[in-house]
Amino acid sequence: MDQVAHRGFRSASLSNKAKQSVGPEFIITQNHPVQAMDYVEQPNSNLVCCICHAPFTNPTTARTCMHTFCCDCITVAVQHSPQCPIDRSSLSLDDLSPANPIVKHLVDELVVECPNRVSGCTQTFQRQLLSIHIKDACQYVEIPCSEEQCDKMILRKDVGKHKDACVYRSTQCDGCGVTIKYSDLSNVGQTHNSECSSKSATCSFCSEEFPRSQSQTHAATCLDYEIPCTHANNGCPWIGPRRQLSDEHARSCPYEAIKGFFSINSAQITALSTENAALKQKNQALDSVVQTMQREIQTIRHVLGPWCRSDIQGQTSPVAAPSIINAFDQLALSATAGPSSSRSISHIILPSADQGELVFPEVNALAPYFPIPPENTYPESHHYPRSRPSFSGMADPHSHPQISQRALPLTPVAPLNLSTSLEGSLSGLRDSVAAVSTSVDSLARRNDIALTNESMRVNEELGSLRYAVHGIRLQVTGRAGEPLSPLLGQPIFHPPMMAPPFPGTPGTKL
Amino acid sequence: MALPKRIMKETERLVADPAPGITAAPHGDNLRYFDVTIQGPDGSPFQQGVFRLELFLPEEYPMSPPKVRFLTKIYHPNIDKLGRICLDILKDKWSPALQIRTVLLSIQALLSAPNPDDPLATDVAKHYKEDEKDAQRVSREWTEKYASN
Repeated sequence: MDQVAHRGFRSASLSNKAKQSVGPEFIITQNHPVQAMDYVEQPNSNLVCCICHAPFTNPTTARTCMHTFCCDCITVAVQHSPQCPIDRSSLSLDDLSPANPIVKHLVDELVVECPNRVSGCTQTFQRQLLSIHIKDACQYVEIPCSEEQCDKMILRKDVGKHKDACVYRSTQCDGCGVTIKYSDLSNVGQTHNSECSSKSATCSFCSEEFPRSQSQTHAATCLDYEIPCTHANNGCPWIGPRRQLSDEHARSCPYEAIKGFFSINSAQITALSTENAALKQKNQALDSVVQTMQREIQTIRHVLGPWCRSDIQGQTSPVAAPSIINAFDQLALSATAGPSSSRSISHIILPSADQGELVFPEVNALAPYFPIPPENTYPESHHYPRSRPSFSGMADPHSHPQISQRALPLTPVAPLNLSTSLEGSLSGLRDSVAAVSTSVDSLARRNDIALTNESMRVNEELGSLRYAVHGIRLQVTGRAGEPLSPLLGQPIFHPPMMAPPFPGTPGTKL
Repeated sequence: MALPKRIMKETERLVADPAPGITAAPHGDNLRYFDVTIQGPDGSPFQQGVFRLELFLPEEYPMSPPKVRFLTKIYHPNIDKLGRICLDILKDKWSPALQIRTVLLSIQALLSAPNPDDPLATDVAKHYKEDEKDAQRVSREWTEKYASN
């Protein structure tokens, strides 16, 4: 199988090579196989291929046995059986080569008859001139008409005759002189003759004849030309000859009587429609503004996220409408109803300039989210030192005034400023928290210092007390020998002695 | 498919310039099918006989050999009772350089020189080998019986 395919491939390449080398002959063999041609004289038998029995075409010689055949014939024969058809010696496609040029010239110069002899061509010529004869000279070759639209094939000898008869030939209009296709003229298409401005036309109303170029002028003046009533656009159905319009019809036409009304009416309608158009335009503009605002509100809601609580159900207000207009109405209602009902509109966070008077209920509504103003926010911090009884006596006089004075400037946590952006509010809150924590820190530190100071002072006092007690004890022991009665009569009470420093006079030293 | 120029030429020549003792005429409805007659060669047991054959040119002709068969019964070691012929050029020794005329001449020659060493009809070949004279006698009888007009 492989061998066969290989041979086939080689044969193709060989025959292609051979065909390329001869050029025009290959073209001939496409339409007019040379084998099928008739030779004027019986060719010399030495020039005849033993396979096709015709003079060689592309003569090819076997290098092994020097026998000559047509290229195509020997290629096919070797593919069938790899041997020389004449002497049966073995032969492959590789052994084939173009024959001696003399052989080629001999067969090319054989005189042949024209292949179109059946059609009538009686010419004879050398075989190599066949293609030139067919291409240029043979009168019995069918060629296409030179007119593009014509698809007829004509014998070359009949081309002149066809040119005068072809329906697609160019011709001149005898009226206007324009060059057109014959098929566009009268008897074929009826197209040009019905358009040509030089040809005469007849008025269908007055039967007058005139050049077609004047047909419009005639139509404007012809008294028999049928025209509609001048009030046709107001509803008059009359159509008639021009001559009747001005006298006969004008007298009877009901629209003619009220033509004054028509003019006024049409002017009014025009004005109204203009106004209507302007209003429509304005309405459209407003619509677009509303849409823009809705879009903006959507965007704002999106940005606010959880800040925007929409549709809290079960609240005091029965309707929590999502639409902006309903919300506006609700706002107005709740403003009159008081702060208690204002939760229902909590989804409107940012008040616009128009709603200035409605801010209060809104702030109340938002109260859960925001810190209370400072006067209410810090009551406990004010009470804090006092709630510790141990400090009420000593620390309060020193520490409280200082702390309260410094703590107040550290409370910039104003009621949330709703006119700023959400981010601004948040950062403000964050700052406030930071400030609060700092102040708590410093408070703790101050408390520590104050405590230390206090304890040092107490220690000092304790030391001095201990000292005093020690002195008293010495006195007591000194008087040990003395009778006890005076001692008993003057009882020793330390507390009364120590009492004075405590009730409010700090720094008292014994 | 149109008839190749070669077959037309061969047919023309066969009709116009026939080989001695051989006629070949194509059928009107199939130009590849030929009615053939071959005269028995002088000096052979088939002398005086006129044998009818049929010849068909396959599509691949001349790359493939023509198919030839005797229609007339013949007693010959290389031709069986169905008329099939054992001849190398009709089989593996075919060459495109051969043609109808040469094939028919070869068959005519085969009648003159039977080859019992390469038999197709084995009983006839055996007869020819064992008793050639008697076999030739049978051949003559058959020729007279079947191949005489």
